[in-house]
Amino acid sequence: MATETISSIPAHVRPEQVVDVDIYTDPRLLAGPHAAYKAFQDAGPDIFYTPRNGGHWIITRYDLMSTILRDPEHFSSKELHIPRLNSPVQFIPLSLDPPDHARYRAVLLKHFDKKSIAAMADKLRLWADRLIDRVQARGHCDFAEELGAAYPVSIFMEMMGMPLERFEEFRGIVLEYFSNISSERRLQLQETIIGVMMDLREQRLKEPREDLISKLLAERVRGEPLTAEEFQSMGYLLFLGGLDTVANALTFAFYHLAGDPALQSRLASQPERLPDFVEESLRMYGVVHQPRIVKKQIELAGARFEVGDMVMCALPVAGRDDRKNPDPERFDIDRQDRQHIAFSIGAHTCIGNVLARAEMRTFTEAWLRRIPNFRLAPGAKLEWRGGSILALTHLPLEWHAGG
Amino acid sequence: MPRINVTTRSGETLTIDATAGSSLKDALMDGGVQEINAVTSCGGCCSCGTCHVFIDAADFPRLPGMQSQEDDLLYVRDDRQPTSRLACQINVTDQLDGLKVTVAPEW
Ligand code: HEM
Ligand code: FES
Repeated sequence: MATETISSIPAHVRPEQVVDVDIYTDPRLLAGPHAAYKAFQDAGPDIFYTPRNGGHWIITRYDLMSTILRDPEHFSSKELHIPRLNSPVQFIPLSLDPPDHARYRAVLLKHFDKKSIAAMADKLRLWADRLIDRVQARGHCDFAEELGAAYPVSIFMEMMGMPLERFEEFRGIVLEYFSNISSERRLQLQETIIGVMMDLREQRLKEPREDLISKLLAERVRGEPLTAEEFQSMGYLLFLGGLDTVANALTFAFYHLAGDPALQSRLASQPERLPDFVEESLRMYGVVHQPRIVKKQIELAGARFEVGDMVMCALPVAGRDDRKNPDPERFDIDRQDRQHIAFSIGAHTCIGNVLARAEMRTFTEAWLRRIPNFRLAPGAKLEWRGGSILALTHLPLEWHAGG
Repeated sequence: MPRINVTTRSGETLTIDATAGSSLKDALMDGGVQEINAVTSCGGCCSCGTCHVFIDAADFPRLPGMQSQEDDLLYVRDDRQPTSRLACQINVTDQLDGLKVTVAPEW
């Protein structure tokens, strides 16, 4: 497997900058990735190099990540996989650098802005109640798949116009895509996803509906409709972005909440504080690590980045940086001036962030209204997934089913 | 110090002292107009639209033109007006003294 080979250390990397971490398999990460990355952040250096997975830098501090993510002149989005996938298929707009990026991004932004998401409020509530209905009387569930994933993925599939009866199949593809697989397998899955999106395109071109796929096909970019290729790479990105991000963020939030009964009661009686809970959870439990590839040589905080170097911004611990948030390991919804970049920063700031936040808020509110007290099932074994998108694969919860 | 006259979303008007060399978005924020900065902001990278402002028509010609990226982002908006700009893309200079801007509705 590609990930087991250790690359030689390039000459521009100094020995004291090397820390040996396999982001997919390191046991420290698999025991709890946020705590592990926080330990790397505390131990320093702020920028280090691991020889695993083709060799790449890891950035652990908020301000350095922010500098890199806002500097597409030196740090390009053209390669977004670690190890490198070297695929000719783009993710539009994610893998485009300015100035090509904005015109595609604008088309998507329009469908994910506050107004569009606010119009979905009833749907978000309906899906929450529908899914909680399935488990409430049982008194226990594996939150991760049954709710954490089912909720945002169902909403997303409905919004896109993807057939809900293929839920399991699509979810399976995405889970495998982000797990520790070979690049060859990842390329195969890429083909599969693209096939799904292109079939949908065919259908909606013939018979447009009210869904996002139809709307995107009707959009104009500088006066022209999206070409098949452009649509394909947008669809590929939305498929991956929509099917395995909120799922993890929501599961992380409930992992925390399950162990904090005081916060459960507080949020149940003060639902107006849910937005703060969502932000605090995103600060403590980010999901996405963001890669960049060096396009132009540059020096930053004592590290020399050469053309072609892969760089991974550890966004999930940016919010735990003590240089940004005092007492960062404390989960505190009353925190003032909270800083996190779970949705990245700069030109590629997550387009789905308004939707993601609304989903996390709406779901938590519905849950606490119906199940105000719950806990981790005793003896529950937590299984974390490392890699670029962090996940908790199981989260067994229990509560009094009597009501 | 260039002075900027601002009308906020609620219709309140105020005058702020801006620092030449900063972006108009930063100048507005430093002057206390926090509504220009949403939690969904891209951090001034011409990619989110949350810093959308309308420039007073009489002042508009005083601004340097916009890059294609800014135009692309504004292109899809229903609430775009002929004098729409993204504040993060405007560099405050002494020549802009007295500029009148209105914060556009939220995106
Ligand atoms: C909590 C959930 C989510 C997290 C943590 C998250 C995280 C991110 C991050 C970190 C980026 C920026 C990557 C970069 O800097 O290159 C990003 C971009 C993006 N996200 Fe999300 N995301 C989430 C939910 C969603 C959802 C629900 C959607 C869509 C349905 C979505 C669609 C996108 C798109 C289209 C981009 C590309 C933006 C661009 O390149 O301009 N995301 N997301
Ligand atoms: S701050 Fe995002 S476009 Fe100006």
